[in-house]
Amino acid sequence: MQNRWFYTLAPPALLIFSWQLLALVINSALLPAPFEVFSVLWQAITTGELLPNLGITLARLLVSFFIAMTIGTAIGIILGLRKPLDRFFDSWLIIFLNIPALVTIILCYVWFGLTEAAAILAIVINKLPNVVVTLREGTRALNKDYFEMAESYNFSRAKIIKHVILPQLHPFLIAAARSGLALIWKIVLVVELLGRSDGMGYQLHLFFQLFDVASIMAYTIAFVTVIQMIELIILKPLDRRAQRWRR
Amino acid sequence: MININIQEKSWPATERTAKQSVIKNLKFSLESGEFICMVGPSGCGKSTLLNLLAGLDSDFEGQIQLESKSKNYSPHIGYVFQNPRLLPWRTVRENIDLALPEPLPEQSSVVVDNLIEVMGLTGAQHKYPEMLSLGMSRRVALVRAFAIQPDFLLMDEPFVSLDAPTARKVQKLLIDVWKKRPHTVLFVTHDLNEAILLADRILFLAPSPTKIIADIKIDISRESRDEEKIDRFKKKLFEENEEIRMLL
Repeated sequence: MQNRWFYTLAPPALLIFSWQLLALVINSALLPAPFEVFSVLWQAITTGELLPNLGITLARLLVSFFIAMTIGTAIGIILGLRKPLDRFFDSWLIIFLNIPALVTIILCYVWFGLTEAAAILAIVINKLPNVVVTLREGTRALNKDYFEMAESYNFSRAKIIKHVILPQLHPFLIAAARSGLALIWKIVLVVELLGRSDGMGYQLHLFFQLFDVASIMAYTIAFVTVIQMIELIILKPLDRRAQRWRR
Repeated sequence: MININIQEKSWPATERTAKQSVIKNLKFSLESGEFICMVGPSGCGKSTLLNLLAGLDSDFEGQIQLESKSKNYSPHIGYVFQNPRLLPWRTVRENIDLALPEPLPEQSSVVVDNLIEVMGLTGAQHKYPEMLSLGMSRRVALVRAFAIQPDFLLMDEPFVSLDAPTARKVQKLLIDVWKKRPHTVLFVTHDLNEAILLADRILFLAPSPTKIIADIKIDISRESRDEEKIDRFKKKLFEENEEIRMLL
């Protein structure tokens, strides 16, 4: 147990300590010390400026995340099961994987206007190929032995999905969710910066124009904290649950 | 009575290989409640044949007629594979229960409890398959097959790679459970001793394309099948059948 606390607390403590040290050495407004940043963070929270923006960004993140995961999983499974389709669309997938995020965002705004829907669409398009590729791999790796067993014992379709397919895809779903969350975080801010007038991205844009480094860092901390919470409260327990049968 | 008549089973031609005929003109029948062993060298199409019988592969020419008690009744087929094929993310008990037909037959949980106890798995019921030894996993696979109360049980070298004492133990359990509720069993093995120990009748298969070269009844009573008698039977078999000796 002691060990666990050490590994949870010591790394961030060391990070903050190094940051403080560096701030002392550099001694410039461009790298504010941790204390200064945390007080700005506290101020931003108490004045009620940070949380609404964080909430808006989170909402965009969740909506696009669920759309991308659902559609991506469906497409990934179909491509994993159907070789001809996979062969046909493989090049599409590679193209979409490699279109720079900025290009999709700009095009979405140009084509569909500076709207919420265009913003969400841009995020989904960026994330989708990623999910498709991961789930396609997962589907290809499905073990044929288990399907034969299920077929010879007359498993119903629902039983096959619940007890044979999903447990095998679980690690791939978790992997897609993890990498997806990280990717969407990065993209959602750019989307907001370019075409929205609220959210974290928009705020960061304002701070950038004012050269307000302390605020930028304060917002980053709020951000990272939320991501850590999602990881700890949702993803880790899901992961543990799925792994409990392993030796 | 189960009538099997396979005119042809072949693998389609691919870019590199020509069309390959695995089974051709294979015809035999099984009496109800009979324990049949199939013996043949590896690669003689035994697993392919079992997959046809289990209905996993319908791409062949011929007919397989399973006995049916009544019109609306489709016979239960149990299949014990070469590897246990337990779902690693479900416990032993869940693996067995999942295989049961829906809606659950009456008394099925009593039947399962009883089988689990006979096979010595009571303590392992709620463990995950990865915690079990191979011998235990194979016993779970047996319970799963027996639990559905099969009319026809297919077994594909189910005891291969078990050490001799464990194999003997599981063989004995198999016969005990089968005797309590006799049903037709088709047991594939490449171990002639195992076949003589278990079977009412042995079919010897020769490869490519699969054909039956001998159909031998075992006339030793089940109770008195010991090593010595099995060896004597084997010797006699080899003396009388040149073909079998060449085969194995």
